[in-house]
This record gives sequence, structure tokens and C-alpha cells, in this order.
Amino acid sequence: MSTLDSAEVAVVGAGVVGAAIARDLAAHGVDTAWLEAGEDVGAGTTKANTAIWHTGFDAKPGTLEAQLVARGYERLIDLAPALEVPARADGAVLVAWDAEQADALEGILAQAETNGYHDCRRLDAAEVYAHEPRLGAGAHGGVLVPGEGLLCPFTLPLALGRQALAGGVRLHLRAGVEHAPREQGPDGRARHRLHTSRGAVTARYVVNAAGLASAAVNRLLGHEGFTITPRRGQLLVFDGLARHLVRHVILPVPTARTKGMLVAPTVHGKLLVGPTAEDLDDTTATATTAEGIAALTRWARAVVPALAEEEPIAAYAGLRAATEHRDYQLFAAADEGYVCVGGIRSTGLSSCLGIAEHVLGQLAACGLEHDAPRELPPVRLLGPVGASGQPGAPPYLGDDRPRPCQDPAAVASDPSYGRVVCHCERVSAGELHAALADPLLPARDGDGLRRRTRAGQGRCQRFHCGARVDALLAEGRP
Amino acid sequence: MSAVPPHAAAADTGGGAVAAAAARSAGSVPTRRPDVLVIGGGPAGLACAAELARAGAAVELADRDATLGGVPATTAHRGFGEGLRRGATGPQHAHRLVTEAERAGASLRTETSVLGWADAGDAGDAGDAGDGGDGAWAERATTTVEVTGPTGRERLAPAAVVLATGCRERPRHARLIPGDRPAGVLTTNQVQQVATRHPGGAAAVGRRAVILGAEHVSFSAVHTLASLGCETAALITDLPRHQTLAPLRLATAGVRGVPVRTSTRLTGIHGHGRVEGVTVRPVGATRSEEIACDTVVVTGDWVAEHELARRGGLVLAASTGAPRVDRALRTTRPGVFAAGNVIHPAETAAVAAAGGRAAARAVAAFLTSEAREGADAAGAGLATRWRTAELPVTTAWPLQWVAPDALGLAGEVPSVVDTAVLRTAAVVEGRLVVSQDRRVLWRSRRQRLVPNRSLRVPLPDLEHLDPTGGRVEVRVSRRG
Repeated sequence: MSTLDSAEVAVVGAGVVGAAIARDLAAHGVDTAWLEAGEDVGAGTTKANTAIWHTGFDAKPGTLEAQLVARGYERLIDLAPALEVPARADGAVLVAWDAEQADALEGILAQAETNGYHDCRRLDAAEVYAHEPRLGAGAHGGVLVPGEGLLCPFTLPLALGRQALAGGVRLHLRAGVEHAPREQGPDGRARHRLHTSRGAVTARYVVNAAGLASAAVNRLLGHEGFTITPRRGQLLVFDGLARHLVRHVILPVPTARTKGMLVAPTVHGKLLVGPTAEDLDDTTATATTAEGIAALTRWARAVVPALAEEEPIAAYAGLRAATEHRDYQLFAAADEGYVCVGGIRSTGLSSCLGIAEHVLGQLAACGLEHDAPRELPPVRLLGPVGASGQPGAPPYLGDDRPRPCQDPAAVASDPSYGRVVCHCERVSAGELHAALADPLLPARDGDGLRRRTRAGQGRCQRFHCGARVDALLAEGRP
Repeated sequence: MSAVPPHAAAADTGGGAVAAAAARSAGSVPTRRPDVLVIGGGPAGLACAAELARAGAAVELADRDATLGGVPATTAHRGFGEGLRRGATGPQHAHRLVTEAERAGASLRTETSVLGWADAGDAGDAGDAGDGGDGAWAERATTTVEVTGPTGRERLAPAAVVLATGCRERPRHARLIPGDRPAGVLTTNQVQQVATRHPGGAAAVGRRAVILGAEHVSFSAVHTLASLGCETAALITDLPRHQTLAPLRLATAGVRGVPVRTSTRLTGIHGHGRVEGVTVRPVGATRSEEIACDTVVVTGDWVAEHELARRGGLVLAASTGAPRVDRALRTTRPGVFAAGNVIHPAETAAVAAAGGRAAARAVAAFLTSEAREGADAAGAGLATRWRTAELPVTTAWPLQWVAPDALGLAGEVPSVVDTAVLRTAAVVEGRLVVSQDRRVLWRSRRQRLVPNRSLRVPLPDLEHLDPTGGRVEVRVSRRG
């Protein structure tokens, strides 16, 4: 089999966790090959989550997950602006809907303290309604978690990936690992040989960040210890016209198995309800179900009755990489140069930068030598909306800044930013062009274009723009 | 019929607050003051602009698309037009309407997106001198909107606004259809745009489609799909019968032998990457059936394109999301009128155009009455004379909605609509009855009422009504 790449470190998986690891390896000047079985960065479990920026206040104390979520949260405070990732700490209100749940609130406060999160505050019922005036009747009290926030699950992996690529990481898409034997390298030292559908990649060190496939990749590398039980989460999205109904992330009291269904705004200015939690055995079962949608609709109306008047604009399902264990499956086989990052069930978006830092430490313990961290080039946004006007850069997707079509300076700089193609989300031809022409991570399909620009993500669901956007994609340019 | 609360300005992220902030931070955005701004360049907007221009108003029409004409401009089949000219194709008809508006002197602008209404602080700026393009009644601007396009950001502060934003088909997720999210789930309009305007998007249309819906547009979709080399496996409707006219059904599905599966629900869409099939289940049955297909077209079930109406705080009808209008086609926001399929989703292009012309008459009267009275500037003076929410018209099951859904009190603006359009949700035999406080004002002959088909009742004259009485109700009487 032909050799596709040869590197010091191979990172398997281009979800948000793999992207953060690749980005940190680039920052440390490590020669890195980055492998992804799918077509794009951030297109698996990463794209279909609740888009919450977790503080880790409710994590199981003492776990690696608790530690890395907290660390990831902290790192992102500094990195989000440099990465131009929409991230907002609007806070969460955890609501107890009966007396029994209200009794659990003290325990939740104590758990937050144990986790090193000290900002939580007990709310009585009146305070809950003062924070969330549109909440349905029956709240017995709650907990305010001021640091909980919202993240853009589309931009974060892409921005991390762009920085990794700008820092010299080589990304290989459609390169799923099929076999992973050890072999002797030309220098006489042992190394990994990862056979993929596109050729072999040799590497001294392998990081397994393969998400739902992490248990399978773990076995290919000769390890056992965990299996993945995909946990399906169905979610319902309401239109931006309903965004004003909610101010915070509205959390339920969690159970032993799941954090439960939340109602939350998104950084794109919509409302999200979910996720359900269904244990499955099929890692491709990303279908929504009638029962799931009915449960989500019921929950939405119970938590925010005014949502009964609103139509959902999207329903989707993601699979969390749950295991039989109650913590991340993050371990190193030092003598083999192998680090496993498995079972990152539902908190990967928040913890990815904590995980990446931890993995760098593990790799160093395995013997990887690397430079001191260096500054990576910032992610540049297109046009004068960002700072640079660098061509082929992504637009900012958050609703806290004007879209390019709304910005007089952007339109004056390039009329194509005033040429709106997706009317619901106000995406201009200029942005679509930038996403298609991006030299680092160009959009290759409709879903990729949607995650980079929000085109087609609005209430009409491509009624107006679908044909035109598809035609642009087919041409590869606007 | 209940009212949807207006959208809160504080959370207005799509057009108003953030956009206005951007405009302020970037310095001056020019303001222009046409007499009338018509928003939407479909049949209703074009006909309205033409009529107003003929009446001497400085009228500007803004359409967000690159091509004028609205839905007809993307609909290749024949049957458009009024009277003897009914044989036109959609694009021919659209071209005719555009030419008519241009000749009349309306200023027609494409790729011009109305982002939202300037907030209260911005509305105060409307008193300033304009930056050109002022119309004769421009000093009495009632509202200010934010606009963008390739030539830049602008504000328009007209004396009257006509919303003619049309409607769209309710998409898959709003219908709560579960399953996978593969490529190949489309609406009719997307298929039509591939056929008429964006052939590059043809990959979205496969070889074998299942169509959800059995109303006029659903059968039109059979035809359009066939023109793109895609056969139709079946039309699916949960209603007990199709809802189109027999000749249209025959000419599209009939001649191709396409089955219409009535009283059947679409219960799932399957496929990874691309649609592989759907699951259907007869109403009341427990057993489902799979139909293999690579395309699903979700048709009809029209909803008003109401974003601007909602952002402007207009009262909307809960069933359609359409802005409430009275028989002068006035919305609940002073100075703002609405016409066409945004108030009755969806009628034919001819009905929409007639509505646009009717709105033009009301707007013209509004402008001149203001001038005659030497009216005060926008604000309280206007608001007190703008009493559109008076005398609501409501429907009772199985009727779904009626437009106009208010009569409005007589004032300086004449009644321009003498019939109301309505829909039934269920197939039913009976008479349509218009009444006020159980006093019958009008009764139709006995007929079969079919969902998704246009139904009409005359609007009662105000002199036949008790102005202090209750609401006017339209219902179905199954007796007699």
C-alpha cells in the first residue's frame, strides 16, 4: 500500500477533540498527520450536540471529565476571541419542577463546590421566574449557574482545525483507519503504521480521538477496556423569532444517567430543546423518531408554554460516545507511543482544550519531544467585519454581531456582501464564496456550507435558497 | 383565532437592533423617502406598485431576489394570468407584471433586502431632511425600515408600506416528520427553481420521488419533476381525497399513472447521505409500508412569509401567521398595509395581483386623505384613526382561517375588499354562513368544502352590522 504520510504524531479523528489536539500539537511545533474517516472537520458527533459551554459544575467530582471540562472552559475564555468562535456565558437556571427535585438542589450546590465552581446560587421560585419570566408554572426553585454558556459547535472545530493547518498539520479526509500494525522504522525504532483507504500513515505516536469509533480504533491498536454504546440525543430547534422567550440555558435536575432535557438559546439566535437520551447499538442511527419529537415538543411546551405557538424549524439527532464507564477513557500506553481519548460522551465541546493539554502531557510522558508553545496565527474573518479582510476566511456566525450584509462597511468593501442569498439567516453571496474558496478548510457539500455560513439553516429550510446554493456548490464558486 | 404576541425588540437579532447598531457605528446610512414602499416583487407587489405609480405616487418596490416576479417567475407551467390571458407561463406572466409596473413609473429594485424596522429611537430620525428621492407625502413618513443590497445600506422612510412578502411551503421539520436528514428532501419551489433558474442545483433532484401533499402545487410538482427526469412514485395525503381539480390531476398524475395515496401519513424518511425511502402508514392503521425513492418533495401547506410583519409587532393570525388586515388591507401597524399571499397563503397569482391593486387604492386614499387634512406627523394622530382591529372576523371548525380577518371601522380609507378568502381543514358538506351575534347575514348554497381549495364569502356591509355588537363569524352549517 502506498504511503500517504509519515509524521511524528498521527491524530485519528477530526471532531472537536481531535481538532483541539491537532491545534495544540501545531502550537508546539510537532510534525503531525491528522486523519478523518469522514468528509469534513467537525461533521460527526461534534455537529449534533446541545451547543452548551459547560463550566463542569455538575460533573461527577473527582473524575477526569470534571477536571478537563473546567480546564477546557478556562482555556476557551482566552481562545474564543482569537479563534473568532461565538461563545457567551449567559448563565444557566437549573429548575426544580417538584418538591423532590427541590430537595436535590442543595446537593447540586455542594457538588459544584466540590468541583471547584463557586459561583452557583440557590434561587427560590420567585427568583426563578424573575430570571425567566416566560417559564411555565410549577417551578419550586432552582440554582443559578452564572458561568454556563453557549458555544458555536460548527465554528469551534473548524477554527481549531484552521489554526492547526496554518501551523503545519496535514489533514487527510476520507482516511479511516482499517489496520494499525506496529513496524520498525528506518531508524530502527518501532512505529505505528495506520492503513487507511487512502494509503498508509506512519507515525511514532498515535492519538485516538475517533469519537464513536474510538473503541474500534482502540482495538485495532491492540487495546481493550471499553466499548461504545451510542447514546442518541434528539433535539428540536425553534426559529429565531422565538429566541426572546428565554434568557438563560434552562436546565432540569439531572438524573444518574443523563443531564436531562434543556431549553437553551443558541449563539445563532435560535432556541434548542433536548436532548433525549436513548442507548442504542448502531453508531449510524442518527434518525429522529416520532416518540422523540413528541417528547421534545411536550417538554418545550411545559418549560416555556409560549413555544406552543411556535413551529420547530429543525429536528436532528446526535450520538454521544458513551461507554460502560462513568468517566472519559483517556489513557496512555507509554511504551507503544499510544494515547487513547475515548468515551468523550457529551462534554467534548467544552472540554476539548482541556483534553488537548492533557494529551500533550501524556505524549511528553511517552517520550515525545516538542518545542515550547508558540503563538499560532489568529483565525481571520472575512471582510472588514473581522479585522483583516483576508480572502477565503469564514464569516462570524454569532448573533451578537451584524452579519456582513448588515454592516455598511462590509458592503461598501465588496458588494457581494450585500447580495443576500439565504434570506432567513441573512447569508450573502460573499460569505458563500469565502466558504467555498477557503484555502484551509473549504466547504465541499451543502452541510459543510451550512456549518460555515448558516446558509439553509433558517425557517424556510432552503425553500428560497436551496437551488441557488446547490448550484453554487456544483460550480464550486458563487 | 388568537393573536401571536409581537416579537420583542430586545432580542431582535435578525434585522433591527443589531443591524441598526451596526449602521450607527459605521456612521451615516442614507435615508430616502418615497411615498410608498412596497416590500416584495411578486404578483401582489408588482400590481400594487403599478397601480400606485399610475395614481401619481412616488413608489419604490424592494425585492430581495435577483429576479422580479415572485413564485410565478420560477414556475414554468402554463395557466397564469387573468381573463383571456390565462394561458401564460409563470415567467411570461411575471414579465408582463414587471413591464406594467415599470411603464407606470414605479422604481423596482432587486437584491434589496429589508432587514427590519428601525427601532423607536431611529424612527425619530424620520423627521430629518431626506437624502433624495423624496415623494410628495414624504414629510409624513410613518415608519422607517433598514435595507441592504449590493449598493449598500440604506434607510427608507415612506409615508406608507405595503407588505407583499408572499408565502412559502411548510418545510419538513415544521411538519414534525421524523427520520434521517439525508439530502434530497425538497419543497416544490426548490424543484421549480432547479427547472427554471438554477440548473446547476439539479443534483438535489433524483430519479424517483415521493410527494407529500395532494393539493394543486403537489400535482404541479409531478409535472416539474418529470421535466427533470424524475418519476413520482406516489403522492401522499392524510386527507380522504386529493384537493385539486380533476383536470389538473389527470394531466399530471393521471396520465403518468401516479397513485394518490389518500388517508395516509408520511411517518419517516430514511437514508444516509441521500434519501433511500420513506415509511407511510394509512390513518388508523398499525402497519407501515416502505416506498423506495431518492427524493421527497414536501409540497403546499402554505405559511405566510411573515418575518417582517412579526418583527414590526403586527398582530398575526395564529393559524397562518399572516398579518391581520381589515377590508382596507390595513394591518394593525399605522401606515402599514398588506396584500397578496402573505395574508392568504396561497391563492393564485391573479388573486394576489388583484389584492395588490386593491391595496393600492387604499394606500392612495390614505395618502390623499392625510394631505387633505393636513395631518399631523406620524404618531398619535395617525394611530387614533387607524382602528383596524375593530370588528374581527373569526372562523369556527372545520374552517381554518379567513382573510381579511377584521372589518375595521369606516374612516377616511375606503373598503377595497368585498369578499373574504377562507379555507377548511376537513372535507365537509354544508353551507358557509356569515353571522354576527347569531344573526345570519349571508348563507351560501350547499356545497362540498375541500381543504386547500379557495373558498369565498362576501364581507358584510357595515350598515348591516351592529357596530356595538360582537365579532362576525364564518362557519359551516351542515343542516338544510
